[in-house]
Amino acid sequence: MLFNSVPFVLLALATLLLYYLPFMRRWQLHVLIAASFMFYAWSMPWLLLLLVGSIAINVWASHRVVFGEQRLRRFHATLGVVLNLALLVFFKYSPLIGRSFFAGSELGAFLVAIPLPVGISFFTFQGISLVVDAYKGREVTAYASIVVRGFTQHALRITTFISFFAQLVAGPVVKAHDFLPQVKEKRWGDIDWNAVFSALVVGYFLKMVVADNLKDQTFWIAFPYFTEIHSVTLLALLFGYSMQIFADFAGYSLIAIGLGHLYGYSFFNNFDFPYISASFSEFWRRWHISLSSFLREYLYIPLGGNRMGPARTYRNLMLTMVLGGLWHGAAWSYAIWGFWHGLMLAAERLTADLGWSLKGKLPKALHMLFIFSCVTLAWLLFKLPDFSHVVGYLKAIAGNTGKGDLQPVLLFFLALFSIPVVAYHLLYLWTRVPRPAIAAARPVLYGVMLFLILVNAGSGASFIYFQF
Amino acid sequence: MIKRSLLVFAALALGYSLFLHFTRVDWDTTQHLANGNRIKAERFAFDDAADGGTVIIGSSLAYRLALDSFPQGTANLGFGGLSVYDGLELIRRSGRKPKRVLVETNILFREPDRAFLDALFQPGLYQMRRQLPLMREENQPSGVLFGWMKQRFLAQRSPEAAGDSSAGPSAVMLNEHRAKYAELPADSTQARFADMLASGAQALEQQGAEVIFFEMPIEAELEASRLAEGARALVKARFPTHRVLRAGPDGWRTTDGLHLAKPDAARFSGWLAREAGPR
Repeated sequence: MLFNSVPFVLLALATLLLYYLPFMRRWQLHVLIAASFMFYAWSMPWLLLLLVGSIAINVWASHRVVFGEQRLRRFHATLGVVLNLALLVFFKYSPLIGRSFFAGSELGAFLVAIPLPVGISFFTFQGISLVVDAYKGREVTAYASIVVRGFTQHALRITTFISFFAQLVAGPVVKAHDFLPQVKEKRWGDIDWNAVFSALVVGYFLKMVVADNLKDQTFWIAFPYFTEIHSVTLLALLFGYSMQIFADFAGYSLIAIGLGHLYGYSFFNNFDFPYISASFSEFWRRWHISLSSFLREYLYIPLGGNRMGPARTYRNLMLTMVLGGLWHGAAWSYAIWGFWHGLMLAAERLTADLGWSLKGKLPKALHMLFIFSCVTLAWLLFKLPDFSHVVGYLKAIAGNTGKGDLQPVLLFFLALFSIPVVAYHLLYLWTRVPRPAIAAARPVLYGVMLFLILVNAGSGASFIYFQF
Repeated sequence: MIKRSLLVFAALALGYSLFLHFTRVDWDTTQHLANGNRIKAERFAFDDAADGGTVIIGSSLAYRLALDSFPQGTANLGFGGLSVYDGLELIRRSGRKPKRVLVETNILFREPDRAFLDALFQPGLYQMRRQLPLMREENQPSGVLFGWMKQRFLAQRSPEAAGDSSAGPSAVMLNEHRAKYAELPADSTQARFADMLASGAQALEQQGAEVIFFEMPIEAELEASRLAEGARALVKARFPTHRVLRAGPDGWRTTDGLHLAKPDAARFSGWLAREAGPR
């Protein structure tokens, strides 16, 4: 079920009504779970078995870690993490393993045929966060309360945490220690309507008006079409895709945040104007924040982070980014994408260690542009998972200077639908100092966005991050 | 803030409805392929005068047919990236009763795209779009703005500037098509598509429509490929008594091996309109 579909709107409204009925208060978690299961099973009911299986593993493992035999705590935590990873590897990476190592064999054919269940990367990561946080509960006081003693109550809380439809299929990756303390009775009067409204309007606008309209233009990035397109247009298409992927995913995250507020749960911002970043490390503090903080907390720091000398730091950076890349998709292109970002982060750290830094506004602005260009170039690996096509596209950028015309129609629409994302970032730069005029203009902006959602939505499509 | 935002929204919706009501938007508002498909489908579904006319169904190949050659009221449901099955389904779901249906046979082995028509016929939204012109695809502000600018500033562009150069198809594109056209789907798959086509045609004939098949000219090498021959054989076997129209070699030029260049599409449209006319 898609956030931008009529069935979803009906489901969300029906759930909202039931959820806040006074006599239903003690059943709020049940209502949320039932709605979430319906949401997940909508197009492929058998997927529910997988989700329930994953939840069962995590309910059991986290409860054993806290209330099981103390000498087996570590064993149960490790088993929980391993089972989550096994589920992820089997369903997500089997086709890649089949293609790469068993091509032509029966085993290879079997592995390639395994379907990718939507949202598996997200809910297995949340499961890992639960088991690890439960294990840490002894040392970190704030984590102590995430697992309650009563098994049924624990199962209800964890099922809500993992399956809550607002964040089930494409994040944000919510951590157990952020979500579970919020599980309590919710009241209609506590809803922050302004927060719900602004997150939903901006989210739906970014997805339905910006991303979906850009998608129909960036379609031409595909092979073999790009071989016939002028270099300038190819660059514009790449720029448009960069705007599209931001609008698509930031839009989804904002809708999730708005829905979370509606049911009394707060999620952290997942995007913080990433394209104004002046360094790669800043970019990763602003882009898909929930994933980067997850990788930092549950992978980079346990690997040793930057505490064991420069060589180990660079290794940890590269490993974290390559695995982060592979998390996005089961293709070597994603690993290369992660490697590219890891390389840039390592290079940045090296220059910082050497004491190099930029001074003056112009060099800093140029550096910002450089970061944006590198990030945008790397998105090509997302759009074209076949690496030979990526190389072909880059060659076409260099060589198609005299091919075809510039396609002004394409350029016009790429520019038109990129304006909101560019303006969104520029406005942020401009309004870091609060400006009353902007605050006063907000109702007008939201009114315009609502109007465009109604009359100028692109052809509906699923969210890019659903494939991950 | 919410109330004021809703007021702004209502004012814009009302203002734009009035603009559409009083301004005759008779220029082309198509923004891209998918949007063009949707505009055509909505016009067909919402136009109650579409009954009793001629309808062309097909893929992006038929998309290029010029309607000025055909009788007035002819609808072209040649959809880019889609196939005849989507056109057949659109006729069925919209409840239209055409008098004559021209079925393109070039792309017969492409699955129908359910999402395309599901989006059009979404309960609630479909009725709203029918009643409220501002919600229709052809009235999207970006398309209206672009169409107006195109009419004003780009109308004089030559076909060459619009991408219909006579340079012929590129080697890369032709190679891609060659590879695709060298293979024919399994017999069971062919039979499934043939059944789909036959049941669609039968439904049309039961409501009194004449069904005529036609083939769009493509690059000669592709025309002689396994896939093209297979599609031809399927039509011949399943519809032995129907009219099947195929233009002979006449120097047809394509932009990529499959799609006719604009002047040739216009020339072929004239030929097809003549051949498909009442006998």
